[in-house]
Amino acid sequence: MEVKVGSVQIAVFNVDGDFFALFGRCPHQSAPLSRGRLQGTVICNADTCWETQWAHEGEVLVCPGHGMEYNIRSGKAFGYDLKLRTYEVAVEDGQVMLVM
Amino acid sequence: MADDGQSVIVQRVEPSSNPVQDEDLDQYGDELAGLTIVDVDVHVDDTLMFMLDYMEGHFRKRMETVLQADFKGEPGNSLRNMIAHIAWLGSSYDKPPRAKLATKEDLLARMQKGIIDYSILFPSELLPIGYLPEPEWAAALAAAYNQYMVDAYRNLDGVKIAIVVAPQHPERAAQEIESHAAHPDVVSVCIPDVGVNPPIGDEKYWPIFAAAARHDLPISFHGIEALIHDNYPLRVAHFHTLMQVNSMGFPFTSMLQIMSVVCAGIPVRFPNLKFAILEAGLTWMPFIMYRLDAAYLRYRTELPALEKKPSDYIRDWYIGTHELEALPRRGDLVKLIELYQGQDTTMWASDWPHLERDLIAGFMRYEMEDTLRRKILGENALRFFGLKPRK
Repeated sequence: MEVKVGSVQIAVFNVDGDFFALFGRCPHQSAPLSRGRLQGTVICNADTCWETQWAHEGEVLVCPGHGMEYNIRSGKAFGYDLKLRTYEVAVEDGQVMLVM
Repeated sequence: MADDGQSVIVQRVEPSSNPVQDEDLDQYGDELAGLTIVDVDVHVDDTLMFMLDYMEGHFRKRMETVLQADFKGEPGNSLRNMIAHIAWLGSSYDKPPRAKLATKEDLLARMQKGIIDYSILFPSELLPIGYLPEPEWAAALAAAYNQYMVDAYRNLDGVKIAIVVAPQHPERAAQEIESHAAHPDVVSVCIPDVGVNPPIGDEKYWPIFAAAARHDLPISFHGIEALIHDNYPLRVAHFHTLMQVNSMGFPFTSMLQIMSVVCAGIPVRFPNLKFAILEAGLTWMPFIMYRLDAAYLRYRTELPALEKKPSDYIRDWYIGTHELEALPRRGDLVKLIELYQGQDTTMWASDWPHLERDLIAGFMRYEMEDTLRRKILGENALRFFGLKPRK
């Protein structure tokens, strides 16, 4: 879901009870990331001996606009030198709170 | 045309009747004095007859057969004329579309003007080596060329050599790099652009990149007309004139090599390896960078090795200015370089003494800050080839 804090849109995800909050607009063309789906992605690096592998299942946020991918935990984009701001999420007494 | 004070048509400077004299350097001598000047694309007479003594066994016998043939009566016989210019034979009349030949003495006379600090020698005859269907024959020719050049052009002040490799024989290509990497006059590995199939990013060529990276030798892709019918990567037999083939062949093949190398993740696997593109002009650089970036959004999962978008890798590639496009206004070159972020990667190149060579006047007529002009005329090339300043 998307919440608005002041003028800032924040995308909040509930993954089996774990909550994640990231800046809610894709820096590419401002598509709403809260409507993106979570899946895995293909990786290929020295650790995989340069073979392609499916990895990060359920942790990759795919932008609904054009498909840019973000690590839901770190906000870091796959294959780009950029990172979305992430927000700490606290759950107290059944209330989900963002630490701003 | 806009009336902004920049609307001066940049005239093409016609070469003198004898290209090897290079009188334009004399003309600009005062303006260039004190600057580091590196000409990153220079050619000397490397016709096949020079390689005979560097070939052994049946390949020497074969070369003797080649040298007996009479192709247009060219001195030493010409691989380029044999396989490249036959279709358009004589099409430009008094400006024959064949390479002019410069002797070692011509080269030394040009250097002795004291203007050019370094000339980087690239192959002429073996630029079409990628066309040759027989890997062993291609590898033997490359080995003979490299040994001839190292023997004939060693220990000359300011003269450096790019060895050539035959990509169709990657193991022998890697051996060539191993053999010559330690030579103080060898500064780059030349991979000709055309005829290389499958594309140069293919895993089969990685031994070449691995060897170059091991010895910190930069890779230079050198363009050549994509002239042979039905040859990778362009099928240009459809065009009726050599001008069309020449104009599009160099930039298109260069773009394809860049795309192949970057999309194969080679800059990630060999992060210290430097690349340059020569003899393809400059204006297409923004196109390939930002076109790939746009597609990368959709297709990133096809290129999972990349850690950045394609243009972030391509902007690190060095690029020679030849054949400098005829941009209409004096301020246009700076705008173009800003678009492809090439202030630290663009290198002046003449292609001397070939007919289509750029005179230095063609570059000097474009307006730019002195700091940028110094980078392009020499400082960027010093860094790419690992050379020490001589002034």
